[in-house]
Amino acid sequence: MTLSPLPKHNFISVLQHTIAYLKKRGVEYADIRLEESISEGVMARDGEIDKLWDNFDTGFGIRVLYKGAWGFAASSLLTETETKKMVDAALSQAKAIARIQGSRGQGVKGIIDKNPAVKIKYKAPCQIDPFTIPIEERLFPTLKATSLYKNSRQYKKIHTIEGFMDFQKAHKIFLNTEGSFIEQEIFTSGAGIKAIAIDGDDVQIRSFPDSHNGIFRQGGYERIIEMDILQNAPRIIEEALMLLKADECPSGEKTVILGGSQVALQIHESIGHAVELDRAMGMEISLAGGTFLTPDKLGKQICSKIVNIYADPTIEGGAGSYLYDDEGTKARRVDIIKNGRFVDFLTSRETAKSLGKKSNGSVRANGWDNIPIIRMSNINIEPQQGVLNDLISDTKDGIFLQTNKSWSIDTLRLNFQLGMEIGWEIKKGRIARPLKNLVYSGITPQFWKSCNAICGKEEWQMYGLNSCGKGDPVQSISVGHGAAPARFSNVEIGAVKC
Amino acid sequence: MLGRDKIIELLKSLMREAREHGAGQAEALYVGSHRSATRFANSAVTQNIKESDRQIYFRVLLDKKIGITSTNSLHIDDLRRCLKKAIAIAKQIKPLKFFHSLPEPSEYPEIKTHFPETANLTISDRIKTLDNIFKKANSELRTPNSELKAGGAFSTLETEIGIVNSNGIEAYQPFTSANISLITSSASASGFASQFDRNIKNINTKRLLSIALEKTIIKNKPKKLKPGRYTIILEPAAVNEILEWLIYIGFGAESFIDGTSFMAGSIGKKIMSKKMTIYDDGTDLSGFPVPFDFEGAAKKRLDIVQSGIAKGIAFDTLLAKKYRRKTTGHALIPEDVEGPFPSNVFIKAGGHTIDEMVSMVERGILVTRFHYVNGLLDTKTASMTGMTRDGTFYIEDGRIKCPVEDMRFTESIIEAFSRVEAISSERQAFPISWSDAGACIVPALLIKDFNFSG
Repeated sequence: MTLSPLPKHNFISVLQHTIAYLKKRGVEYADIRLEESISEGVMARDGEIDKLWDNFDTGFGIRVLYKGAWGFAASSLLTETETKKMVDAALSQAKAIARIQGSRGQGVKGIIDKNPAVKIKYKAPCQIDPFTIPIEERLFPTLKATSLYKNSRQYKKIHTIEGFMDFQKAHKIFLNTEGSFIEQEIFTSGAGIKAIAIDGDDVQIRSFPDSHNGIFRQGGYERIIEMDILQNAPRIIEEALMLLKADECPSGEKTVILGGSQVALQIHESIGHAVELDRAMGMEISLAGGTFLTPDKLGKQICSKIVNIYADPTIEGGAGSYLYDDEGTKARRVDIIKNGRFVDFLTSRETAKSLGKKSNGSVRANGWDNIPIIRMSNINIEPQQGVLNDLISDTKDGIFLQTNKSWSIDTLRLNFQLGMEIGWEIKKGRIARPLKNLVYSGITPQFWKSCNAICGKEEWQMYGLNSCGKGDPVQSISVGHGAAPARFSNVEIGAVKC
Repeated sequence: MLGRDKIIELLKSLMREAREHGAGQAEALYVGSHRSATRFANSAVTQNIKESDRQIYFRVLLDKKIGITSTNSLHIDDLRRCLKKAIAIAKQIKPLKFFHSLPEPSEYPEIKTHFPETANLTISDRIKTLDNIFKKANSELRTPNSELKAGGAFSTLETEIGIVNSNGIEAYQPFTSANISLITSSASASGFASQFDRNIKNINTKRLLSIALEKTIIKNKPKKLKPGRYTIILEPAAVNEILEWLIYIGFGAESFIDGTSFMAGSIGKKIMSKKMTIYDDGTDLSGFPVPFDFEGAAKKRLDIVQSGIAKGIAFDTLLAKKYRRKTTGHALIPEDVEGPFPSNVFIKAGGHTIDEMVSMVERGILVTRFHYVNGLLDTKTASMTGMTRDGTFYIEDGRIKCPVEDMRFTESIIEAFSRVEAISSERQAFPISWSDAGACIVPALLIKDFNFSG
């Protein structure tokens, strides 16, 4: 028993007819996404492949808006019969909601703004297609890095070294009742290693180029080459060992310098999620929560004046880059924080209209089977000036923090606690000693208002994660952050205290 | 739903092809799922999702070399391409010295896990149920300055799993589940209730609304408490948040092997209060059983912590062979890299009602649920942090006195579970994030000196 889906070009024709059919059925709006991806993942441990897997995934999702109510149905079967089933399912959902909510005055037409019709084909830059490189060559940096010092007595406290690689080629076709036909092809590549050192009950981890499986960026194998994992692996392994002998972080209020990847995560948790307009409107209350940044806070100072944060899905190589979002809105740069003031939300066509605005193109779905929702694209901080060494030299008494270990923030994105892999005590402008088991905490606006220095473009780089969760059922998506090291004053910091 | 015969026939034909293409051993796993979800906020439906997916995973073994591939296309050309790619991958990678065989056939008990009432729930049924909740919430408290709003999600799932391997395994199981989470909120408070069940008929929305409303409609203003150690009652939802992290950082073979688990080096030692017994049982009908794991190994009881003593860890065949153990029947899908994990986890019930537990507390805090718990602070002590949400209350002289502003805890859960004073008799089921085939079944816990850090 197997099924016979239509060849892709025939199926696209079915979808075009479906759009025409939906128009005739009187929907206010409808869109369809047909997606296809191939991906490969590798988990390595101590020089050996633990798992290597390859996946081919395809399917389509139909979203309809009828009398102010949404319906969404998706399937992996690319057949005409299945398409009809999904159309019926999406329409019946929307009609059932409109029937009940309309009777209570909630179902109203015109809840989304209008977009111009676009016909475009876009291929995101990719220099080296990772799938064209032979497996052994492709995996070499990870396998080699995780095998370093294996069986060496000097490194016996290095319990294990793990490596991770992930490659994906995604192809997406979007068509809607406004006449748009948008085709986008995007490669994403990511990798990372972590060394785990153990001495009794003391477990210390150092990761490169970032924790939580490394850094993910759009592009091909050139992204892996740029990371230079092999060059950096020995340092990371030495630091993991060093942490076993390091002192715990002293408690108190301190000046801290966050490394670039931690500035990225700090933006992600305390600014990026906080400026999602669906959260501000209570639409994510059940799981992700709300936000302290409600529309009445627009224009308010929530960061120091040197802080400028913007969303930019157009930047090349960001993990969250695209030309058009999953509602057919053209991607563009949007200022979020300007000179420390909160100036805009991330919006969708529906939520923007509630503020009397047009969508700023911040909507994505994780795959064909999920409904599009407001997501961060690449949320970046503008660089200021200077290099990290100068910033350290300029700090009399502080701690330089590198690489995130744990993260937690409340439902309003205010009260956060973040754990770090390693800290470096700074005394009189010099690194004095390494510190371990560090957590810092704060309240978002107070913390960002204490930002008194951000490094320049020499230190600015794109970071990216592949597992930002939101929605219910949870959608996990790739998000990028351009960031540089930055300094904050009077930050509550200490060792993990239970 | 394709049904047993079609799925097993398809997988067997693919296994024949695998052998013809030179695979020493091979395995095909089918996971078909049909999910419907309705999200609501501000007492209105905001999203609806109906999604059908069918994944086929291949594992082929060639001289101890494993190739893993998957596809969600059921077109024969795609399936053949996927199978051949698994063989090609296996040919190119280094052999796993320790691994020589996929699982052998097992006997599985026949259990009823599929309920047509759940699978056939219509969108109209779902919307009507929610509309009744909205109307009731709206009528409870409506003044010019205060309005109750309902938010949450109502989902149903129908899944069928089929596994065939070249050693003779033929396994099939269909199952359903329904889950509703509900938050009612006013300008100053919110309350949470949830229910997870295989059969939609057992979901009691009136009871859920009553629980959520009781937590929301509190006349007193929330009290701000100072950080410090408090006696707490964790209701089941809060216990579940913590247990999920314990499973993730401690109860699976990966973290045990890499040495980061609090269980590593502790097997046979006392790590918690003797009141605490945690076990996994994929055959227990009071949970969400599926009689086999994702490689066809039969489910059986695994004692994890027995009367406070660390006992066992979840293994799949691959990691069991590597570390000279036997599989405990906890394989996840072949692409998973973090498991195996226990997937039918129970905390043994105690003998108290939650009201009795409240009456045992002179001064303390009742926590309905946590938000954004993170268990990576120090995995050897299971140190975690997180925020309270949707119903946190101050207890004085054995009574709920007033709501409490949300607080952050930072605590070693191993130490906290060593200070468990009482456990509720009633337990509640929650879905697990790493598999649709399982659940956590947990009671409420009364714990002394729980650390709130701010």
